[in-house]
Amino acid sequence: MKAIKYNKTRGLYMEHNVSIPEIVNSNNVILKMLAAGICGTDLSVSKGSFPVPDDTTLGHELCGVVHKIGSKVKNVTVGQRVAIRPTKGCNSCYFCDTNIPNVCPKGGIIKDRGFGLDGGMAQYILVDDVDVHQIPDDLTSSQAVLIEPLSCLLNAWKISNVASKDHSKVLILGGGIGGFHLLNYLDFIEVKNLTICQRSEDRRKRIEKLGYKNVTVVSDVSLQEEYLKHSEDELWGFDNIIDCTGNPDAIQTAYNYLRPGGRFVIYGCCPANTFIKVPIQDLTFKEKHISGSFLQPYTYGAAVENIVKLARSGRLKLSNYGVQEYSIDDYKSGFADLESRKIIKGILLID
Amino acid sequence: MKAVRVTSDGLHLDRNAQIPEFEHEHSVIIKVAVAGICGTDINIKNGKGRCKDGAIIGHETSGIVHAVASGVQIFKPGQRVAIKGTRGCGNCYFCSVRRSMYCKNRRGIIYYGTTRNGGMAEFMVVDDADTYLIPDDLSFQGASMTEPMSSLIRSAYIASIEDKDNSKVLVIGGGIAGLNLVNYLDFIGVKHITLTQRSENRRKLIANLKFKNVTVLSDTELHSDYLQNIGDQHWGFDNIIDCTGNSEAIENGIKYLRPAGKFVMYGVPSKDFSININAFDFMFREKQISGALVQPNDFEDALNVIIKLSRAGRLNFHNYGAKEYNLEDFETAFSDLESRKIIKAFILP
Repeated sequence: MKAIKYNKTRGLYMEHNVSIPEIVNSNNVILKMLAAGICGTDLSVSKGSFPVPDDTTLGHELCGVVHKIGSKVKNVTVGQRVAIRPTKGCNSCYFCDTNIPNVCPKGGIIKDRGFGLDGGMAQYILVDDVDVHQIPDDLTSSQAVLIEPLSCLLNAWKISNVASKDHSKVLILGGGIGGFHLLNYLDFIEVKNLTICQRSEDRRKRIEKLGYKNVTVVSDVSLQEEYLKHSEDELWGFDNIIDCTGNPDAIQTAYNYLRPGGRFVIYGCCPANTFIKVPIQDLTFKEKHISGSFLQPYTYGAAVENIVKLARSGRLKLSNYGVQEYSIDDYKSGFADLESRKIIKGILLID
Repeated sequence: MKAVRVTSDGLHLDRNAQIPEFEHEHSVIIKVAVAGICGTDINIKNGKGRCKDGAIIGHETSGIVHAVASGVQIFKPGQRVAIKGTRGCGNCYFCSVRRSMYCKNRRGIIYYGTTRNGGMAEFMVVDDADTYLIPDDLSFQGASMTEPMSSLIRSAYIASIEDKDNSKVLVIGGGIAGLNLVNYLDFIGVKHITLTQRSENRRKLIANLKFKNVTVLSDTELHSDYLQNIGDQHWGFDNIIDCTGNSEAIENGIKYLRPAGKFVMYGVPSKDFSININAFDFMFREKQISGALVQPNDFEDALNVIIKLSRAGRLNFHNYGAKEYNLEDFETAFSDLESRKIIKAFILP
């Protein structure tokens, strides 16, 4: 079968003669892949800045059709279309026991399909029964690809611990797929005071076209001007800031935009060994928080439900999203268009 | 009356201060029994804190009701009370989310011992809304600890200890704050508490207090344990509360977080500095760093905790290295505290 892989010497490449996976354990499910998303982290992998074992198949935002099932699989049958959760914990350590399998030292990223284990940018993938969720017929495979990123964003939102959907002031940094997807969801659940900060004008226009009433769209320049205008006003700022840029300079600047009691969530993936300087008196006297958010603990099921709701309420028209589909053979264009920011997300269609 | 005032030259004893009068119909005049000294007061004395020029210092106060204004329903002369540092308006966004320290309407405007007259005086005028009855079996020293205890409870709340039986908690610094914090955590049943304290004398003092679930280490012992276990994601702490305000202790302390761990900056760093947070590591391991100050809403809970600790015999301050001083000896009190000769000073006007 075909599979998109990465190794340090060849970079990103398509391997044509990969063996089709077989059932190994009685709870295994083999899926014939339909769609696999390309995310910012995949881009980092393809450039060598996010490490994965050599020759791992990429792809962790997945939708497929059940092809074969192990003898003990009860939750799906052959032919059903499903969304695939790429990661889980080991189920037997302190972190898994306390409901944070995403930081499990043996699971989490290490067993994340598309990073530590072979993923779904391929014609078939082997997973377990607990990893698959049925999706309704009216949800397209490409829309289903957006489930996994939403599951991570739901985790970030939970970690944000917003005090009041009606009164808390929420800022999303970055209008790429992360910020855009989060904004779409938060507006849907009626968070009232939403601001999104996006550097480039064309991405701002895309967001403005959605016409969401509770959303203010700003540029990084105008936001910094606002901040400087209010430098004497201790109560100016945001209660919750979620960074979806992974840009340490953006995070460093935006820390100043927290108001007392505010929480900054680092969701976007910064390069390794980048640091934020936090002024300690300010953090302490104003009771501010900085929290990291990584992958998803048990939010995948909720993400499935919410994607279905978003789609059915007309909020998941991919043309509005700046998402483009590519055939798997054309994967290089997908990665290149994402890199050049022509799109905010690419989806590989596989069949 | 005698009172200790703050001026740009530091603290002065005013022997002819006016005995306070009612400010409005909800005023209560207290005959002060105990005014505790805390780190913030030391910063104010050294010109590093915010304080109205000429204000009487002291925000950890207990005493006896002396007189009540016409609108005061609850209190009568002779009752023993503790005084809360400040309160919010109850109506703004911050008050509605239990952050009334940032109350839009009262913030920084009205706080005993900084922007309005405090407790290091023979008498003090307060609002009835800031006054709390204390039981007869609670000492005035204990009652004056309610204000600092409320900020410690706040730090524990922000630390967000998931599981008292299994979470690993580290308190950095065994001064009065760290000691009271482990006292509280041990009392509420947190099972794995580690306390680091640099000085051997203080470690001995803490060992004598016989906490059940507290391991006391030097900072170097803990750091070498950390170095021996680098790479083991299970090594480390789920909740770390720094009670030192020391930049080195904090930079090292952050390294001791295990995945999903939460670091809390408690109390008042006397000088400003920045610490470096590894953005990738914080994201990848879902770590957290938070500041904790104090929230007026926590005062009542803190009073309940103080009463329970006192009745369990866990508030014997003299075993802690605490000392009492007359108002006239306030300079000695401050210098004994700053030179670390004692761990806590109570002024008895």
